[in-house]
Amino acid sequence: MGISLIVIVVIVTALAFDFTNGFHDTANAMATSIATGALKPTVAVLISGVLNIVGAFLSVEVAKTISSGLVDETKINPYIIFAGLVGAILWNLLTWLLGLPSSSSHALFGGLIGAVVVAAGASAVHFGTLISKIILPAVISPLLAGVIALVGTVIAYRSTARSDDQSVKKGFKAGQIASASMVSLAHGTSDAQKTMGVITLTLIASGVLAPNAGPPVWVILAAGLAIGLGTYLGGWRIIRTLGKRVSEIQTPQGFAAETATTAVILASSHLGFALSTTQVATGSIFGAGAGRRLAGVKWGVAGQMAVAWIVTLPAAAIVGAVAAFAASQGLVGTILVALVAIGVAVGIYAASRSTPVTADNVNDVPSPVAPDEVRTESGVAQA
Amino acid sequence: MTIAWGSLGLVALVSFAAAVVVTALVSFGIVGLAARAPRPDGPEPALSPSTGTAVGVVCLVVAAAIVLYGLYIIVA
Repeated sequence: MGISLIVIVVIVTALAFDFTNGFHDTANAMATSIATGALKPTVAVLISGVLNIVGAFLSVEVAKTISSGLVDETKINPYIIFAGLVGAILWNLLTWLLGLPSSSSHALFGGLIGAVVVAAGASAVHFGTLISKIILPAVISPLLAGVIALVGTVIAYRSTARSDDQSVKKGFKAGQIASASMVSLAHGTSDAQKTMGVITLTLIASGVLAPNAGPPVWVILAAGLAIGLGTYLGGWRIIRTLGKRVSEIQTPQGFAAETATTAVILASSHLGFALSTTQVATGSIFGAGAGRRLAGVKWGVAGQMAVAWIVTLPAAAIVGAVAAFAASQGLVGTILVALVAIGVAVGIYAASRSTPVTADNVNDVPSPVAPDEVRTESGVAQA
Repeated sequence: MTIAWGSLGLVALVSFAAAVVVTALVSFGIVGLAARAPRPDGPEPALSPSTGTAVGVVCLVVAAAIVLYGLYIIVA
C-alpha cells in the first residue's frame, strides 16, 4: 500500500511542528549559558542542535507509547492529526513572537485533543489520563525543579564562598557547558520522540505500518534533524526572556538550574510522564534566581508565564478544533486549513521582523537587580 | 482515574537526590581545584594544592559517574 497524499501532508506538518518545537525550546538548555557568557550564542545553538539529534536516537520508548491512552486510537485518522498539528504549530509561533516559554508538548496535546473532540466527540478523549499523566505533572514538575535548583544554588554558593572568585567562576563556566549539553540531550530524547510518535501513529492509522510497530529509522532521522535544525536557528526571543528577564543569572546558578532540569526530565521520561521540558527549565531558572537573591527575581514575569502555561492547552485545542472542523469538510477544507495556517505563520514571522532578536543582540537588555544591589561592569554586586 | 503517586514521589526523590548530589560534588570539586593555583591577591585556599587536586578530581569523577549511570539506565 502506497503512502497517500494526506499522509505525506501530515508527515510534513509533523516535521514543521518538530521544527517549531526545536527553536521554541532552544532556551531551555541554552538561555542561562548564553546569559552568563559560558557559551557564545552561535556556539551554544550549534551544540544544542547536534545534541538534540543525538538525543533523538537514545530511546524510542516515549514514541512507542505517544498516544498512551490519551485519545481513543481507533477513532484517529490522518485528518485529525493534521488539524491537531496545525493548532500546535500556530500556538507555538504566537508564543514565540511574544517571547513566552510556553510548552510545545502541551500545544501538541491540546491541538490533538481539540481536533479529536470535534471529529470524534468528547468521549474519544480520556480525561483521566489527561489529568494524571499531563496536568498533574505539569503543576508539580516546575515547582519540583525550582526547589531542586534553589537548594543546588544555595549549596553551590555556600560551599565555594571562601574560594578564589575567579577560579570558581571559571569552574562553573566549564560545568555549565556540560550541564547545558545534558539538557539538550534530554530535550532531544523527550521532545523529538513526540513527533516520531505522531508520524508513526499516522503511518499505522493509514495502514503503511503494522499496528504496534516502532518508528522506522527514517522517521527517527527526520524527526531528529527537524528538531536539531529548529534548535540551531534558535528562538532568540525566548532565550532573552529566560536568560535576562527573570533574574540576573550567574554561572553557579546556571549550573544548578541546568542540573535540576536534566535530573527532573530524565527521571520522569524514564517513568513515562509526558513532562514539558520548557516548564521544568523555567521552574529551575526561577529557583536558581531565588537561591541567590530572592528579591532579584522578577515574579511578575513568572505571573505572565503561568498565564501562558494555563492557556496553552485549551488555546491549542481551540485552534485544533476549528482546523478539524474545516478539514472534515473534505479536500477543499483541508487545503483551506493548510493555506490559512501558512498565511498566519508567514504573518507572525513578518511581525517578528519589526523587532528582531538575534544572536547578536540577545543579551542587550538589562537584567533585573535586587533593590540593594548595584550593576557593575561584570554583573551585579551587593551595594 | 488512578494517580500514580508512587511514581510521582519516586521521580521527585530521585531527581532531587541526583541533582543536589551532583551540584554539591561539582562545587566541592571546584573548591578543590581552586586550591591548586592560588593567586597572590586571592583569598587563602582552604586546602593544600595536592589535597585540593585530589579532592577535586575525586569529586568530579564521582559526579561524572553518576551522570553516566543515569544515562545508562535510560538507554539500556
